[in-house]
Amino acid sequence: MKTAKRNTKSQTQKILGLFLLTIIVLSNIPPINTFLLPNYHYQNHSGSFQYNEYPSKGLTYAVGQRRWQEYLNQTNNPKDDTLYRTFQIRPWAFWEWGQYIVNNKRYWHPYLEN
Amino acid sequence: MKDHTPTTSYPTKGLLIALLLTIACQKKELPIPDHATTSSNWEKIKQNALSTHPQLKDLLATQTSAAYFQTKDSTWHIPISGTPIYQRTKQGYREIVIQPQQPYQSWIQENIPDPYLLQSKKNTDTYTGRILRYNLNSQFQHGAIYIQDRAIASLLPNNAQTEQRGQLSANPAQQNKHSSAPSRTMDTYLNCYSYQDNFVDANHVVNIVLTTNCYVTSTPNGSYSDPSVPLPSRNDPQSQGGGGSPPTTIPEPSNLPGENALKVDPKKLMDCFKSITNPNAAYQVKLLVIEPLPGTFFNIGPNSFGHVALALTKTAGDQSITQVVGYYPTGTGLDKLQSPGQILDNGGIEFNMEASWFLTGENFEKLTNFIANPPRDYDYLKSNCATFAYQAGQAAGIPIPNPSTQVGLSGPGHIGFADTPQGMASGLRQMQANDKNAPINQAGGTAALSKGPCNNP
Repeated sequence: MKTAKRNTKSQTQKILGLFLLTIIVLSNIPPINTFLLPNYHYQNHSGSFQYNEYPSKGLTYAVGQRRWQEYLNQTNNPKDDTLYRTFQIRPWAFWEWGQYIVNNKRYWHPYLEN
Repeated sequence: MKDHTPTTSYPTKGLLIALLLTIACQKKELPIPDHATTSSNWEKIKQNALSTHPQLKDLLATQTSAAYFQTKDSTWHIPISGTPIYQRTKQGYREIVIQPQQPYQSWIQENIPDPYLLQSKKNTDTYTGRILRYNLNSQFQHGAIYIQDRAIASLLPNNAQTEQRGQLSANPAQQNKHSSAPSRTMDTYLNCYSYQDNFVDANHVVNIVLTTNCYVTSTPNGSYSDPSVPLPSRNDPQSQGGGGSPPTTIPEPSNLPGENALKVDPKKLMDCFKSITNPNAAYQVKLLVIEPLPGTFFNIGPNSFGHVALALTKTAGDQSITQVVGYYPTGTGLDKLQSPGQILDNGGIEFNMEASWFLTGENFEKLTNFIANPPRDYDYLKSNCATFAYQAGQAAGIPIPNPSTQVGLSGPGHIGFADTPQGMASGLRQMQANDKNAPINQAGGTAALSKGPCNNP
């Protein structure tokens, strides 16, 4: 009798765990994450360069880097040559966990409060 | 006997406020003021301001972007860092306002647009929300609440309450502190009430303010006037609680500082082509497609729903201008499905399919006219990036294929057909199947960087 109860409890835990895992995985892949991911915004200190990622529609982190390099080449301003992120790192936001693995470069930028 | 008065519990209220604030987080792209003047004017104003108010120097050092603009009332607005906190949420923005005319004045202004109205009326040209005014030492002076550019309530520091009461009692037309019975002036009945409110300014100082709200309820001849007509006028210094100070300036509606810096004005992008005046210029347009799952017929894939962009190039001799543009929603979250549309710079994007055509000058102008005036509303099914590219082609006589394709199950109650990037890619493949010499590249590549907006006369 006890063994049967334990088996039922274990099975419930498994189903619950599987359900949570499914939610986490689904929220981290396109197209669902298109609606969940925050606005990844970058700028230099003066705000003369700004870039907003829109990864699901072509405006990826790589595009931002390309434009930033072009901006640096054109302006040649060594006093303002750091690109900051203005979004915070939120470890609890499970829908961003995939981004921490796949696109972690964006989080290495220093943070600038907007 | 049971009390049937409907009540709302605190958790429910909290949930409603949280919901409202979450919804209010949607971004709203707003027009760049047309009356921005030249930088030389600004430098002159800045120097005058610094000589009159030296403390401006430190404040201007916190300027958040190179952007500054002059509004219709000739005041200059310079966004600075810091965000006020109202209802426990950071919202609004902060700026220095300089009034260059006599009496010459500068002050700090915090603008807290009404989030609910911004959300529900996306294209409002008027300002609704709170405006709080500080002296250059960051001491709160006064403010006002506006609905559609009209002041409906004045905000005073709480220590000015006694003074305000005195003013109100001196005026028999007004009653203070939660008055319910209307009082009478020479020609109107007024109802005024006051209540305390608080907010945290960008310097993290808690300000308790006395809000006084007055409205007309009836006229002496017995006809009822519009109760929403506010008594305080934004041009009436007394209504600002400032005792003769100039009126608080209505800013252009905006959500966040620096947001306009990301906004691309398609007219200014297209205007750049006018800088090449050679009549023998060559015109080229490229259709860039990002498929959801390249090489397949899936409408959803690692690239989400995919994307379609247009790259326009005008070349004459050694001069060449390229602008790469795409059509996007302005909404966030689920509002990405349906919200006002916008043009964004797509310079540097990576695509996996490309088609190119050379145009006549006349057709190129038709194309730039279409892009300069994009469709107002984005819809994920029928007015999206693929639709935009197709319609641009139709406007300029370019054989861009129809991106309409079947999505999901067709029939009553189902979606049926939609314009998709995959539909566009399929159309291009079909084009190439029909004509092997069709100018289509399936190898992909990276788009050129855009020149960006120009301010041609």
